Amino acid sequence: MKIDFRLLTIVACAFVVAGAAIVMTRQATNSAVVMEIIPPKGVAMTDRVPDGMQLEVTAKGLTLTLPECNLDKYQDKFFLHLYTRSGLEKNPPAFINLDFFLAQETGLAQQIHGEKSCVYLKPLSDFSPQQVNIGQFTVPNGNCCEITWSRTYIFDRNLLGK
Amino acid sequence: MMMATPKPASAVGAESHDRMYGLDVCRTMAILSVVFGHMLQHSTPHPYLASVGFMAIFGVDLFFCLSGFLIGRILMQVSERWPQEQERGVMQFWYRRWMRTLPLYFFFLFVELQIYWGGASSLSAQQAYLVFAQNLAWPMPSFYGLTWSLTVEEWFYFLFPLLILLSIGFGKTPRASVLTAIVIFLVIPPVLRFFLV
Repeated sequence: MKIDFRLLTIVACAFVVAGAAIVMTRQATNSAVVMEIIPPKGVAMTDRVPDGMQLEVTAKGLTLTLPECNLDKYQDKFFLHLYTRSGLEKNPPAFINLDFFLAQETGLAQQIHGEKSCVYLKPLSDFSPQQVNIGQFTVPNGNCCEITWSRTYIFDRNLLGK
Repeated sequence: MMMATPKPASAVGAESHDRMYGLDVCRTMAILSVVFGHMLQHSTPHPYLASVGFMAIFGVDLFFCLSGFLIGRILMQVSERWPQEQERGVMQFWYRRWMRTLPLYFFFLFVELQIYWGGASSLSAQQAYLVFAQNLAWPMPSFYGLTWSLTVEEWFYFLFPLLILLSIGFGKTPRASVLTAIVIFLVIPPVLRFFLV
């Protein structure tokens, strides 16, 4: 049995290149890092994302999917705050406010495996956000605000930890 | 009466084999079941149809079997020459395979990036799609999700010949090298799945 070291080296190099590509990709997997908002003092945080609602946020747009198109659980106002690079450099950081009521938005009905759901789309690419905060809040007895759930999406990894 | 002209050596093997009717039938069944399965996903089927809809998943399995048979046969033929051709033979194999799939894949990836706003909006997310690593993200992103099976195939195209070449490098015959690669593919992935998932 004659071992061909040249061939083995070539194969080993190919494996290393493939492995490196996978490792590098794994390290940079998610387009956004999802974090929980730490509510400011005096603002209560009572819950997480309501069950069933699917949320997908990228720098290009927001996609909200409601199973059964049931709006009852989502009557509270949504806050949608976009932070651009220049906005984040300000102190305190400035954001673009796109708050909305879901009932006033137009959803696209779809059926997958016979199950109905409604998809709501909000384009964000015009703003080129570096960070997106989304959630719902109520104003109990006129006192603003009680956040019922929230998520923060950070698209620029350099902003992590700031 | 015309005499049969012997085929040039370069045309032997690889993609010069005669078409097999049975395989075309299998291909048709696989295509129809995949189309049927996706159709059911986006409609409200009759309960009877819905109950048999799960069988559509076997369309992809059938495709994998067909691919394994066809590509396996090609690999067994072309690898006979790899002790002499060495890496050139493998690169030729890759070139033939990738020219059939990659141009269309990258074209539709580009189209998806333009029209699907909900995914792969950052360069780091797109990187996975460039090296067919989207299957390694869990849960797998919905963006361009149909490519999962192509990803499996592309990694098979890449790794399987490399294993054959590795075995040839250790001095084994091409036939024994193919067998070694098959055994490795049968054993390692399930073991990895057991320990990693």
